[in-house]
This record gives sequence, structure tokens and C-alpha cells, in this order.
Amino acid sequence: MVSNPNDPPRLVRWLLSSCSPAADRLFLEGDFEEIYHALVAEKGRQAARRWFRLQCLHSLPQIAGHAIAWRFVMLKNFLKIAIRNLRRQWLTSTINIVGLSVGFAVVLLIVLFVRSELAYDAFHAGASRIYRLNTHLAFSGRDVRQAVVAPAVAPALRGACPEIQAAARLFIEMNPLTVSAGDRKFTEKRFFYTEPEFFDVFSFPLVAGDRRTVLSEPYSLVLTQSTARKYFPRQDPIGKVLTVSNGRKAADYTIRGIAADVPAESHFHFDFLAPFSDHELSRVDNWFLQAGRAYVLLREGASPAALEAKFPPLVEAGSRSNFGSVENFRNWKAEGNVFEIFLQPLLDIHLRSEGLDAQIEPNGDIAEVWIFGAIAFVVLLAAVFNFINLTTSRSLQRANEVGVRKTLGSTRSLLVRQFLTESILVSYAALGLSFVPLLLFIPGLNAMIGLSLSIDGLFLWPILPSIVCGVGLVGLAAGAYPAFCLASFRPSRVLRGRIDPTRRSRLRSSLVVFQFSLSILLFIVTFVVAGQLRFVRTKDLGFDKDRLLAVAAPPALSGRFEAFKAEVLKAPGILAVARSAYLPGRFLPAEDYADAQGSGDTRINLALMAGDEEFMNALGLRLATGRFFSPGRTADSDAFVLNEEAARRLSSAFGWTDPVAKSITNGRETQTIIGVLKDFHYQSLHRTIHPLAISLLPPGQGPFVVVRTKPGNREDVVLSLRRAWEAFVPNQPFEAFFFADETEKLYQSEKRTALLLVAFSVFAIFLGCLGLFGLASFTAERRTKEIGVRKVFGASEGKLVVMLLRQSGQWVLAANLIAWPVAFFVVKGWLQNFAYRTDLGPWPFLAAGVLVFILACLAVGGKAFQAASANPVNALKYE
Amino acid sequence: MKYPTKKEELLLLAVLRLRNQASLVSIRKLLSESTGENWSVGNVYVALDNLLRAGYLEVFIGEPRAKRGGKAVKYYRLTEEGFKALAEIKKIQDIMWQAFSVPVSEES
Repeated sequence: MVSNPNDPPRLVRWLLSSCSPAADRLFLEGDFEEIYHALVAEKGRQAARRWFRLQCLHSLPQIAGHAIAWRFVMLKNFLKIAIRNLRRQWLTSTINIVGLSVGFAVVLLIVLFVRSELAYDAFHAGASRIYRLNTHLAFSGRDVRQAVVAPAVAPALRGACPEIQAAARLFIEMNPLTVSAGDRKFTEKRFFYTEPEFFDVFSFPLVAGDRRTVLSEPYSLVLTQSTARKYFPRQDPIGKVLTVSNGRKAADYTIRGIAADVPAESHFHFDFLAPFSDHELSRVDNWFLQAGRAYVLLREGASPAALEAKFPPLVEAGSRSNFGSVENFRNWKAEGNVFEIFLQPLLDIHLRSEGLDAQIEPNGDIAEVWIFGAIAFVVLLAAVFNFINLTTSRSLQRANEVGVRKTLGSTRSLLVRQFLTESILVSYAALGLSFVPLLLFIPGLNAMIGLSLSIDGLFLWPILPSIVCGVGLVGLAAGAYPAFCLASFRPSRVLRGRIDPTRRSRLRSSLVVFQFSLSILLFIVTFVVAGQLRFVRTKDLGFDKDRLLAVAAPPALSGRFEAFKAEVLKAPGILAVARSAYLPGRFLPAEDYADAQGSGDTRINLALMAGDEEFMNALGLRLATGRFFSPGRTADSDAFVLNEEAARRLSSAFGWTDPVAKSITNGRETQTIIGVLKDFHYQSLHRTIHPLAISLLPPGQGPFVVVRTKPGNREDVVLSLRRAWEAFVPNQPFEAFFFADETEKLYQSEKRTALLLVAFSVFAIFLGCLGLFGLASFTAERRTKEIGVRKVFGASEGKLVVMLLRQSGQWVLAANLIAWPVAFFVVKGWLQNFAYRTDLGPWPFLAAGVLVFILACLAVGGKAFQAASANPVNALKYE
Repeated sequence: MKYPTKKEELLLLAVLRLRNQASLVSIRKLLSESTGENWSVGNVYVALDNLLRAGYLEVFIGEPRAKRGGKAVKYYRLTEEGFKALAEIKKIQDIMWQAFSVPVSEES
């Protein structure tokens, strides 16, 4: 369009017309132009243009305000009608709102979970610049990446790399410490040694004390608030003294600072911080010492890749003390061995630490976050499908309303807006309602699966607006199909009764089938997971886990162990007492062993366990050949007892017929095999039984005392043990571990999965049944006349109910056919996690199918029976 | 019944007076001339639209005209309600104004 110099300014004209109400837009444009041209003729073009521009100020606000105000008046009208409609069809509305709110509750819960997983460690001010130093070590057939770095590394890097703004070492005592203040004494596991720079790298806030100096003096201590409260209730802890003992020696620490409790979303949680310089390990110059951790804060703009590139020469220099010279280290590396230090971003630690051993705390998994995200999406989809289904199936009842409205001059867009208002209203009502189950279930869920979710997480900045917008979008999406479908009914056909709402039944039935497939799938998986957990719990492990318990033994017990043992054995419930270095689920060292007589080329990796002479008896292990350690034989200190797997492997590798009396060596020490035990599951059933060698503990040594009890009362046994404990080692904390509980812990993630699956299957079937119920009531209503006619011609009630149930039956059957193959692959894949697993029979599949069928019948049955037993006169007379 | 405001009263009277030529432009011109104030387009439009929605006015559409950029003009006309409302106002005003007489000024 060519701009005519006599036309009014185009931008202003566009602005004015786009702000005017649609119906009056053209007239207003015309009015403005008329006045403008009159002004041009009267006062000239300049004056006219000025006047026109000024209309932005003089007329535009009024016109726009007026347009918006009337929009609201319309909205109020829409809402009024919407609420009336919802009330009139209260059953459908209730199903809609309840169904949707259950869906929302699940989705919001997952949003909370995912948010908390993604928010790990992000509260530190420089979170994106903080990196952890990790070690990659590969030698003699082993290849480990660990979240551990030698204490000597960080100081060397700090001096050599200007990119590092601050670096802090962290050292966590492996064995629990005893901390006491007067008569208050506790066993503490979260006692961290660190450096003053800790507070430069991380931004854990201090409630009391100065960040820069709080750890700079020797034997100063920082406590978290709740720890301080534990030791000094209602006292100011600053300046107080705590005695910390590791069993060998004790030291007094002065409290100089109080830190706020560590947020749940941190990858480590400390209760105490003490200066690392007080610890002898802080000065050990050995780059291969696998103890301690280090974190660095990079300078603004520094590249982590550039920093990493500086590591190899430093590592070479640092390895000199172990290898004698850099040359030796290079040769060692040339043989294919690896010793590297690499950086891991702090923000990746919680979710992307796969393949990294020796973490401080168990981490999350990015795959889990994705899976839950997918579940949220599917649940939301199912809920929206229900909504679409129910609303569309109401179309017959609404069709008359639409016909009348259209005849009376309502436009299509007005109708669409009316329906969308209704569905959005339902969405927001459902959102409000969904907070009820959320508030009810979150505390229980936290307790059950060890999370720390809080509903507050939903009210944070990007979450709340997203939820509000998202729910609006759900309402829009869920309402769009029915709205456009209803609004496009032709009034002439509707009012003559020619509309056929079953036209869309294929879409609707596929939605129902989809939901039921989902429920069946979830049920099958739940059954299989539960079955595997039962299998794991009841499988004979080769030792009697239900009758074993262990007590962590302090060094003070060593000399008096025999007397202690005699005392304990006097108690009626206790059958055997042994020393052990083994507890289910605890780390076992492993080493490669070669035939002592052979060339030493072939090596077999053996897990190493240690126990005293009573070990086999106490655990209830069975001997295959040879003998176990005998009391009093000093020669047995060089002896090994193998498991069958080790015997098999060694025999086939070294060509032995009988491993007993043969010798093997790890290069430093040679051990003679004296016996073979039957295989027992000393690790979780996820793994096949690894070759194992048991050595003899020196008398009275070993980290645990294992006690075998008679079946019966656990409390009595613990009580008599505690009594003996008080008599022998009165000042040591007493901590009992039941083997059954420790074994159970190995399957914690599976238990968590099972619980979540149960919850989700219940949600899914609930949603599915709601949808089915809604459809059934609709079908029954639609077929009222047909049922009446059938009854008049003599159909029995039973037959009619069956007729009405048939369709639901077909849907459930189809859903089964879809769900079974999918479930088969899912379940098969999941079971691969276990080396020992239940047989996958047809039962979970059939049970899930039948269960869902019964539930579907229950959902539909009532309505079907009601329709079938109604008096046909009522059905037929309304014509 | 809600009484029209003074402004609405003036608008209704202007529509009445302009008979079949009561468009937004002519109403605005008449009001500006008779009151001596500048009535903005938006002001007049909003007031007219409110009267329209209240049922005092109705609309008939005129022919498109070149001086309006080829757009049609919207003419306003009083409805029966509008007449009644004006009549009511007049009645009340006549009663209420009876006590008033212009004082004899000193110059005259």
C-alpha cells in the first residue's frame, strides 16, 4: 500500500484501531478519519497530524479501558453460566474435577521431586564455578573412578594454578567417633575435617562466628544448629568444649562457630567441621592415598578444561615420591596403567555421578528424573483424556443448549469461549482440590522413601507461575476439542434431533483403552517387583540372616574378648559368638591371587573376608571339603578358606583337582587353602557369587562381634548383650545391627520403586475407572429408549446388564492385549538387574488383567444395573 | 431506574437534536460547540457505547463514504427507553427548578 501524505499517521491509526473493540473498529476508524480530514481542510495538515497523534493520549486510554471492562463483564457472564452448568451436571463435574485433581496431585508431586533433584547444591553462590576433584586409577586389571583425591593434591594445585580462586579439602572419618560434652555422649558419623577456605568455596551460612577465622585455630570446631542443640540444650555453645574420641585417643575441641543446618538438597551433610590440619593425614605427601576429598572454586571466567590440562605434569611431579622418579611413573603409565585427576562440576554431582565410586552420600540419578518426568506426562495425559472423554460425551445433553443459543443469535466464537471458560474453571477447581491429597500424603511419602519434599517447593519463582499457566493450558487443551466439536453443531440438525454423538466413539474408546493398558502395565510391573522382593527376602542365602546380629566392637574390647564371649554365651537366647570383619552390604576388599607354584601369569580376583574360628558356626555356613580354622593353631593365620566358586575358578585356572592344601599368592604373602565352604550369598542378589577367600582374624580382633541367637525375641537378646557390654566396656557406645535389616537395606531402591509403583497403579486405575464410569453413565442414558424397548419385548434384567457390560469388557480385553507385550519387555529388562530372580510366569499378567476387569465391571456395573432395572414406561414415555 | 448522568443527559439531548444525522463526529462537534469544551473522541465513544448497552440508544448503519476512508458511519437514535428517561429527567427538573428564579441584577 502506498502511503498517501494526506492520510493520518499510520502507526497511530493502527494503534487506535487495534485497541478498539472488534465490533466497532471500522466505525471508529472512519470517525477518526472524518475528523482528521475536516481538520486538514480547516487548519492544515500539520495541525491535523498533531491532533491525531494526541489522540493516543486523549482517546486511546478511554477506548481501551472500555473494551477491557466489557470483556470482564462478558467473562463474568461466562462464569455464571459455567457454574450453573457444572451444578446442573454435578455428577459429571465431580468426576471431572476429582479425576483431574488426582492427576494434578501426581504431577505436582513429581514436579516437587524433580525440582528438588535438580536443585541439588545450587544454593551455593558460586555453584557453577565449583568443581570436585576426582581420581581415575587403572592398574592390574582394575579400573576405578572415585570421588576421592589424596590430601596432598589440593595444596599443590592451589600453588600452581592461578585459575583456582579457593580450594578446600574435606576428610571424613570412616569409623564413627564418640563425641561427649559432660555426660552427654553420642556416636557421630558426620564429623568432617576441612580448612578455613571451605567457607570461601561453599556458602553454608554461619549463624555465629566469623567465616574467615572460625576454623583457623587448631582444635576449633563448627557445629550445625541442631547438633549444638543436641549437646547444649538452651545454652550458648560458643566457647564450650567437646571431647572427641576415635577409640585410640581423645582430643578437646573448642566450639568457635555455629552453621545453619545443611539443606536437604546438598550432596553432603556435616554435623561437625574441624580443622583438617589437626589430622595427621593432612600432611601425608602421597598422591596415591585414596582418602579425602577436595573442591575448588574457579575464578570468574576461568575455563575448567584449561585447568584440567595443567594437571598431568603436576600429577607426574606428585607421583615421584611413590615411583622414585618421573621416569618410572611414565614407564608405569606406558604399560597401560592410568592415574589421572579430573574435575566434576558441583552441579553434576547429585545426578550425573554414574560410574564414580566412593561418594559421600548416595546420589540421585538423572535417568530417574527423566522416568518420573515421563510418568508425570503420561498421568497428565490420562487425566486430560478423561476430561475430553467426559466432556465430549456430554455433547448430546449440551447439543440442545447449543442449538437454542445459536438460533437466538449466539456466534460460534462466543460459544467456544463459553465452553473453554467452563473447562478452565474445572481445571482451576481441580488444581485447588489437588492440594488436599498433596498435603495429606507428602509427610508419609517422605518417611516411606526417605525424601525431604516440602509443598513450599511449589511456591517458588519459576514453579508457581508455570503451574498456574500450565493448568490454564490443560483446561484450554482439554476443553478445546469438545468446545469446537459442540460449537460447530448445526442448529437445524440438532433441534430436529439428528445429531449422532456416537460419531466420535472410536476416538473415545481408544482413549479408554489407552488408560486401561496403562493401568494393566503398571499392575503387572508392580506384581513382578513385589514377587522379586519376596523372592529376595525368602531366598536361602546360605546363612541364617534372621538369627544373626552384630555389634561394632571397640578396640577396648580386644583384650577381654574371651571373657566377654563367655559372659554373653550364658544368656539363654544366644548360641554362638564370633569375631568378624563382615556385615552384609559393607564393602569387602578384593585382590588378585596367582598359583604360588605356577608362573604367576594367571590371576584370579578374590573377595577377602576375615573371621575367627567360630565364624563358620556363628553364621551357620556349611563346609564342602577340608576344614575351617581350628582354635589354637597358629599356622592357620596363613590359611585361606574359599567358597565353592573360588575353588572352581582356581581349579580350572591352575589345573588343580582339589584346591585343599594348595597355596596361592598375591605377590607379597602366600596363603594355604585349608577348606572350601558351600557358596553363600554374601553380597546382594543383584550379583552372582564372586570368588571369596576367608582368612583368620588375630585373637580378639575384628570390627564386629557376630552373635547367633535362638529364634525368638530380638529385644531380650539385645538386652542381655547390652548388659554384658555395660559390664565390660561401659563407656563405649553400643550399636547392634541385625543381619536381616542389613540385608534388607541392599534392596532399598527396589522397595522404593515398588512403593511408588503401587501408588502410581492405584492412581492410574482410579483415573481409568472414573473415565469408564463417566462413559458408562453416558452410554446408559443414551440407550435408555433402546433398553425400554428391549424390556417391553421381554429381555431380562440380567441380559441387559450383560449387554451394557459387553462394551467395557471389550475395551479391557483390548487393553490387555496391548499391555501384555509391553509389560513383558519392561519386566524382563528390570529383572536383568538381578543375578538371581523369580521365574516370570503368566500369573502377574493374568492377575493384572482380571483385577482390572473386575474393577472396570464395578465401575460400570452399578450404572448398568440401574439402567436395566428402570421401569420401561419411564424410558419410553418421554417421546 | 438509574438516572443518567449529566454527561449522558447531554449526549441523549444531542442525539435527539441531530435527528437522523447523529453520528459520533456530529455529536462531538455539537457538544464541543455548545459547551465550549473539547470533547475527545474516546470520551464520546465510551459514553455512547454505555448508553447503547443500557438500551437508551440504538444504532443504524449509514452508507460508506470516501471522506471516512471508505468506511460506513454509525448513526445513533433514541429508543423508547431513551425518550422515557429524558422525559423523566425533564419532569423532575421542571419540578425542582420551580423555586429558582434569576435574581434581578443590579445593572439591569
